Amino acid sequence: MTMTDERLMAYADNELSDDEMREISALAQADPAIAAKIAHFRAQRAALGDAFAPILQEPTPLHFVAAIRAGARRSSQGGWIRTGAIGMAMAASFAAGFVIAPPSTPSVLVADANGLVAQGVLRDALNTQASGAAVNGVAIAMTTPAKAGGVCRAFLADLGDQSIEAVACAESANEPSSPWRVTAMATRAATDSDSAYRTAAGAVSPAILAALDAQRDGDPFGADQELAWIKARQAR
Amino acid sequence: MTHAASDFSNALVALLPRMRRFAMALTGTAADCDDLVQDAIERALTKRAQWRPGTRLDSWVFRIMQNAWIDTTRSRRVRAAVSLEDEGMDAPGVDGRAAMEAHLTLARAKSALAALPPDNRAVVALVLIEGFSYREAAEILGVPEGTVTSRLFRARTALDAALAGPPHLAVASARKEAR
Repeated sequence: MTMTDERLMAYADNELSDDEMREISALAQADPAIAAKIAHFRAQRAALGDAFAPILQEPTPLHFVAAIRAGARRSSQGGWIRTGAIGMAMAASFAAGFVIAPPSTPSVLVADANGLVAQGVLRDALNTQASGAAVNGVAIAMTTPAKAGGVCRAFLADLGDQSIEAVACAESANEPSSPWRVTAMATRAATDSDSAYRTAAGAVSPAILAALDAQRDGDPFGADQELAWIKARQAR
Repeated sequence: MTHAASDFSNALVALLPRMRRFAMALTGTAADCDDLVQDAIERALTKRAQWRPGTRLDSWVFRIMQNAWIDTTRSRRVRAAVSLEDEGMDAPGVDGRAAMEAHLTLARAKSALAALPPDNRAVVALVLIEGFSYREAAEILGVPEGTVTSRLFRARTALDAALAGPPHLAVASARKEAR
């Protein structure tokens, strides 16, 4: 069989049988031209691989994660969900970096000098609840690591007279007394609340995902990672 | 959520970085890349029951992506437009092969891939960028292994031509002649 360049390519890609690999190794040792062709195929593969490698290091877009989680829940529950509507004024204000407090500050959110802090059932949910279905009117959508050992969670909460979606962050991920500060919040149309609580990840609005995106430091926790983090936070 | 649904969505989330890389290799632009990933996520979730646990999720998803991209290009009649971004116009006049091996920018790699016929581009993306074997790539694309080998060889020869010379070398030498 003649030594075609196609076979040399297959050799360079480790695609030949052991016998053929040995045969061509011997030929390459004897013939620098063959060795050079093989080296070039390998360099070409390495150059392409290196050129595209940085994409793997980019943070995973949160809307893809949200779409997958929402879709997986949807298909396992056999129903479709609607995504909650968020007021345009509120969405615009997040872009400018403001936090808007709801008209009536409910007891699960208490203002201090630095903003709103989660209390009561909301604090408990943020400390202990996994992403997914609502418990006591709170559904966690997503958890991400934050800078300097912190953690952030996007969630939906039913405050009685209104529903909110928000991002809360704790400066110390594994310290249960580290307060949950609300860094972004919007009110939701009340009609969305029933379906939204079953499918929190998919129901969070793009504005809230963007707010979470701005504060995260790494990809969102998977289910196992999130459970491990909840355990670590409770172990203190 | 059931365990199976949770496992599937976790595996799909973990695959997202590679889905984006594959989509970038197929489409060549950030906007088309994100649209393709979104499309593929929806298709994968819809067809979830067709995936057999224990088989490779990446092969299954990449096959969905390749089919989704074929559908998109057909419906849009997207021509394989070569967009030579500014970043790709560096290093004029130097030895092309040495430049390629030392540092091939993503922009230039995308341009070179975009100039390939779509079938050949998919083979390059699967084998050279995603690291599938010829046989695995053949299964994903639904073609014989020999077809993968010949497409890959043709594509690599074309890539050599595209990457060996700077994209505006012809322009530069034309200028020289005009002087």
